[in-house]
Amino acid sequence: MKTLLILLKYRLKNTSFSRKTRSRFYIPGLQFLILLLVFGSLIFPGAYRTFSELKQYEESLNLSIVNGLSISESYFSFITLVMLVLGFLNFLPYLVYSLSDYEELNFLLQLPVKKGTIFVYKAFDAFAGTFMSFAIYIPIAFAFGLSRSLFYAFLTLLAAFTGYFLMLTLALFVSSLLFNHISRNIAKRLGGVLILVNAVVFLLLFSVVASNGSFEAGKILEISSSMAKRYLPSYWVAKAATGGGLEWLLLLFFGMWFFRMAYRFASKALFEPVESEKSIIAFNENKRVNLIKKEILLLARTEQSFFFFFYPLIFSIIMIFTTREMYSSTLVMVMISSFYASQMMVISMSSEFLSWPLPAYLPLKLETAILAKTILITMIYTTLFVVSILINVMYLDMNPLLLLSFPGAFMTFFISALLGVKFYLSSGAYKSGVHRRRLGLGSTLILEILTFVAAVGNIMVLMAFLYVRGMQKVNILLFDLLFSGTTGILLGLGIPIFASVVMTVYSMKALKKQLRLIKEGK
Amino acid sequence: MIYAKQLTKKFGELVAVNKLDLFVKSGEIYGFLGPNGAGKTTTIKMLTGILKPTEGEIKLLGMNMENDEIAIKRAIGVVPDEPRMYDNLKGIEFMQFIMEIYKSPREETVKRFEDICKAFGIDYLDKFIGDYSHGMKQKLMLATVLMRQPRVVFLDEPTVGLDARSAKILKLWLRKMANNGAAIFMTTHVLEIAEKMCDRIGIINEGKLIAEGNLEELKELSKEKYETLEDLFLELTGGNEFKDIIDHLSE
Repeated sequence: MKTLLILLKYRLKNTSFSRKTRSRFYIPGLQFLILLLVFGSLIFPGAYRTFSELKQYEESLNLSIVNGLSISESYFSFITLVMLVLGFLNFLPYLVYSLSDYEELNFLLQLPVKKGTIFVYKAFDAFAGTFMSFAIYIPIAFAFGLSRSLFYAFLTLLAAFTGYFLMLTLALFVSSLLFNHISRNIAKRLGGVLILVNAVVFLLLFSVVASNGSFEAGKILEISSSMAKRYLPSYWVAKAATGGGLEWLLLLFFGMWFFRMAYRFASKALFEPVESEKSIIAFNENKRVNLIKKEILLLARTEQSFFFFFYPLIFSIIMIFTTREMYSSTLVMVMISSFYASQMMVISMSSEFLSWPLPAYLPLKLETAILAKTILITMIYTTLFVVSILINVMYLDMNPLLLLSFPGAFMTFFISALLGVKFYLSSGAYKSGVHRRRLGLGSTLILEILTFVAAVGNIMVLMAFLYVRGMQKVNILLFDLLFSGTTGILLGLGIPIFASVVMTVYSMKALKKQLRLIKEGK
Repeated sequence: MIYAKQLTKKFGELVAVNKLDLFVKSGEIYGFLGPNGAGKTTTIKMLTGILKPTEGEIKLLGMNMENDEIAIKRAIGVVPDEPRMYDNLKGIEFMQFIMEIYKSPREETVKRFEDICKAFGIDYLDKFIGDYSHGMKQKLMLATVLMRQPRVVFLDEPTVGLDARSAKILKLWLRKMANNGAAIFMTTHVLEIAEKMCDRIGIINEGKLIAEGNLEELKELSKEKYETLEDLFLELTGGNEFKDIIDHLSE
């Protein structure tokens, strides 16, 4: 236990946050406490009022109990279920990444520390990255308990902790199984898919609970009652919080069992060196890995790719089906996509510089290699954009003329991707030896603003123009005023062309300058 | 084959390499020695086109680095000090990528690669490079350079991370390549390797080439006669200031 605390103490110290504040104000775990207090002060009052009102409502009307739970209990059970699912989907990918960190694992194994301690430490490490859902859940649980009495408040907190512990051990169990059956690389990629699933589940839950932009209390309670199933851990938490003995046993038994099994599997899969299988080199005569194929392979095997590519599309599809409005869904998609295009380039560039100086030894100009990456990422986002427009055309019966906006989308993503490279190189991250896979906060904000400008200047104006020209029902007076008549043509086509040319020239010049600086060793 | 005249690299006020003249002919293994920070890696980076010299001229295989950078890169082979490759590619994919990008003749390159893999014991090509140890990466890097049979090869600390068998095979392979007319330029901190392998040795210190020649010529150059290259190296690079400590540790 003492060793674990030492490991955690230095893990908490090893953050950029602590580096800035350590000299005078550093208290280990302070940021988690602050987060808990912030969420607590925001969530607790509303949650407490809701549970109190529900309880009074139950008492005054003597409402029936569904599956052994009252309305407030089934509502708490439903919230617990949502938080546990989100927590699980959030924690698992973090855990997979944390357990895939070969360098740290190898270092830790050299220390006089038990393997079990390392495993628990890595789980804590992953939990620290997914603390937010926990910080949201705890004030809700406390509010539910306090609506009954102070005793129940503490009992509910204890039940919530135990329920969360069960969820964490389940994630540990799943991750240890993953590492037992699939390679570390595939596990990492699966982690990327899980992040996307997490986002989709969140979006879907939000759209179900708040359909048409407003929360319907009756609907939520109806869903809560239908989800109050005896076999769900969320049900056990709600029952344990109100004094159910069997549910306490179930929570503790499964929590301990998952932990034991996870520990057993993980010790085998993670801490024992893998014997390399002797294999004969099998050359496929037709198989060629040229520059573009190399980029495709690297992109496909980057853990974040799946999320960064498909999240904008899925977000847009959910918006199309919930708002039934094309312009706003496309606007959001293009905004996210253009920013993600720049981020994907940062990730892609960092993988290139991880192999530095190899790319510089290859018989091709660095500009060519960067351009190949840029074009590939641009093409992927443009294709996804076209898919989104096609869904709009088919589902919302929009004018197919809108498909003509794809050159604007191409230019938006192309410029955004180039800006990503420019910012990556000018940040000097490639020189650090750490090869950061993301930019600093300041650079990210500037990049976000610039990609926003690129998106507005190129695609949004062009789309508004095509919207008007396609004689759709517009509802936005400004569009009609701007893009009608001959002046409209000049504006509708002129602004995107002007924005494309200016921003491409700027990005290319900035990129060339950075490449020249690399060559000069600056 | 390798020609550099008055090669200079400045980083602000710091002169990393100072008016260096180098010439390595066909069939020669040239050892480039120097203490840490002497300018060895900067020199290799300039000779291979990664860094632009502040002053001076570089010619490789008769081509000028200024005008024919890509053609030069296609013709030479470089093994850097850190074998960094694309972690998310498998060994076999990396090999195929190198073959494609250098436009190497397929059949004979594959054949040669298979031979090299057999010699070095490379049997992990179907695994991701990210999962390799330093030595495994180093062997793959060497194999993908040697399979192309470049006429000029630069190696920066090539034996670091290699097991004794692989290091021995590398030495033999390089000698065979030199006998077939290739020019080999290598840096090493293992002076014994330089002593046994290199036809000529250049010693750089604080960016300047302070001595050059074969082992006998170098010994002649020094103030006293030395039994080993190590003693000579310490004398030339000022390491004799620490001779008392070294002698004490040797006891």
